[in-house]
Amino acid sequence: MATDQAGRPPAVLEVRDVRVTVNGVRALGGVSFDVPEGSLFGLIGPNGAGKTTIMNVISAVITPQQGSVRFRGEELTGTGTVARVRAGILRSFQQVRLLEGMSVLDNLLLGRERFRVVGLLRQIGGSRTGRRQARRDLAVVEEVAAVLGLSDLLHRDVQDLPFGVRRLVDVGRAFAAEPDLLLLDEPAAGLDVTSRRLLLEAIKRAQSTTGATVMLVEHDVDMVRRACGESVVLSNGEVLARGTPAEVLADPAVLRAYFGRSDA
Amino acid sequence: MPDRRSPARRLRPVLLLAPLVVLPLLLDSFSLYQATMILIYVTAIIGLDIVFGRAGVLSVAQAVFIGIGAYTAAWMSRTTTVSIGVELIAAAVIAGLAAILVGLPALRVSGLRLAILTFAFVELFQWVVTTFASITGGTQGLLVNPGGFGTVTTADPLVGYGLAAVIALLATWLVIRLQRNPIGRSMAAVKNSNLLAESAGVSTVRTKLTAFMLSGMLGGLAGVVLAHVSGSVTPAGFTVFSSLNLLVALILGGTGRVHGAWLGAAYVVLMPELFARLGIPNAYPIVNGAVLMLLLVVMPGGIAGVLDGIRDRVRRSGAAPPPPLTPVPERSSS
Ligand SMILES: Nc1ncnc2c1ncn2[C@@H]1O[C@H](COP(=O)(O)OP(=O)(O)O)[C@@H](O)[C@H]1O
Ligand SMILES: [Mg+2]
Repeated sequence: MATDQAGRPPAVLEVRDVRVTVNGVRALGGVSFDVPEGSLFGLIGPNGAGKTTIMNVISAVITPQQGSVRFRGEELTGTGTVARVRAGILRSFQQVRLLEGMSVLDNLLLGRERFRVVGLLRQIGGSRTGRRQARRDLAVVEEVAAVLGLSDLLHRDVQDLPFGVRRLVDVGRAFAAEPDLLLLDEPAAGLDVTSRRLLLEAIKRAQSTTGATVMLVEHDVDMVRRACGESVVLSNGEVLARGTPAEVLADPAVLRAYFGRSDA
Repeated sequence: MPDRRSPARRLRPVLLLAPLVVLPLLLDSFSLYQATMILIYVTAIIGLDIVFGRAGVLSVAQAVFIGIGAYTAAWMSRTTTVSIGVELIAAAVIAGLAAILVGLPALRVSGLRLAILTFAFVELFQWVVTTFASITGGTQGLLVNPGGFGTVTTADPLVGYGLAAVIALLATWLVIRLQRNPIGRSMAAVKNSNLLAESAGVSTVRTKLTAFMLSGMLGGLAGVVLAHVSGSVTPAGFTVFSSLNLLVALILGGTGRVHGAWLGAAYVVLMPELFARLGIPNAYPIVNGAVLMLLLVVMPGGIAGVLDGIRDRVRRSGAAPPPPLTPVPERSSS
């Protein structure tokens, strides 16, 4: 186990010296950080910093050339995406991905797939275990929908919903999976200021009710300051700083990298 | 869960089933034969819809599974005295296993490359049937003895019709069950993208193989009935063109929709007949191709898609507009 300063909760995720090269371009050049249990953890950095890449590594969408990722003290390297999801590591993508033409309810229920144990025949024919699981799935999904404010929309087709609500459904599917660790890749991207705030509030609410550890990529510094506990700043595939939002955002190196060249 | 459906909705199956029961009593023998063929097509097309419409895997191997079912039935009807129930089970098992085999490449490749690989299985089937002529009858094919349960046999066209109807309804029930079921959701996720599926914990491997197996089993069942109704099997009935015909029917009727398979089946059985009656049978393939191209551009959801669109528009005219993101009021803990 990594030695931590006294008083800090144990790290649920330990990223160690992860290096990724895509098509000869260095995306991550030896990234290390710990994500403390039960926190809303901020992952900040300008475009191209490597935030999506590190999420891809953690969820096994890509394999790093070097380095290791440990979840609850166990080495993840070598396991696939589905195995990690079943272990409780969920994620959303920068681009909204939904079951188009299906209801909000169906989309949220998809998050329950990781708990599925009932086999094909009994699934089609119906079984006591299957029905019990279906009841539990529905209960969890309704709870998540209530926390996120989707209760009245459960039977709407996601295709008919505005972008902000679709984002919320995307995030809701991940929360419906009762994640231990949830990676959210710029969930508020493309939303207006009001919707961003509402979405992040909803995420914060869901995080505190479920107790999940959430790693959040977000560009808006004010939002990060308000929502996140500990944070890491990435730039050019390297960790620039780590600490509370107030600490990292006061770091001169961060000020230079972040505000020196991005949206500002 | 309690049945929250309204009485009108609970009556719907009865209203849809009644014609199936009454129809055979009214039809002349040729029309009865056509109705039977439609029902056989329904089963085979629903099988294809599970793999293509639901799981999004393009396969041209569906004719192979029908062929396996048909040859299984032909061979068993000639060499054994078992009931047609045994033939159906054997055909479903063999065709289901074959389908898992055909589905294996789907784990590595997708899209058009996969379609070409499934095409290779059609060629393999053709080669096996023509090579092992002592069992299969080669290009000449086999005559099929009537099958049935005891004295009730497919020598009576009504029995063939009844069998085709029961199996088509079974297939329809299966696909309706799938729709609102974790398996159906997994398939929808896989169809959407492997990334979405896997990030929700859905095994794309298991889901695709399940879809192939179900499609193969339904194809096999359809094949058994087809063999007994037509009285003979030849390899020419199970070529890549047979598969493409099913694919056209499915796309025309509407993929991923229960009634799409029914509409598509009716189209491919009745249209050639219509052209024949008009005295221009050769025009069918040309018109068919043109209609397909037109439909793909104008109505990608097929005939069923257009019908659903009209229904949704009627329903939506009374519905509230979609809301933007709204604040969630604090809930009092209860
Ligand atoms: N598929 C890819 N092809 C080429 N370069 C890539 C690819 N994915 C990531 N990169 C490179 O890796 C770096 C990190 O990208 P990314 O992780 O997407 O950044 P972020 O999410 O922080 O905006 C970028 O410099 C980008 O050019
Ligand atoms: Mg990114």
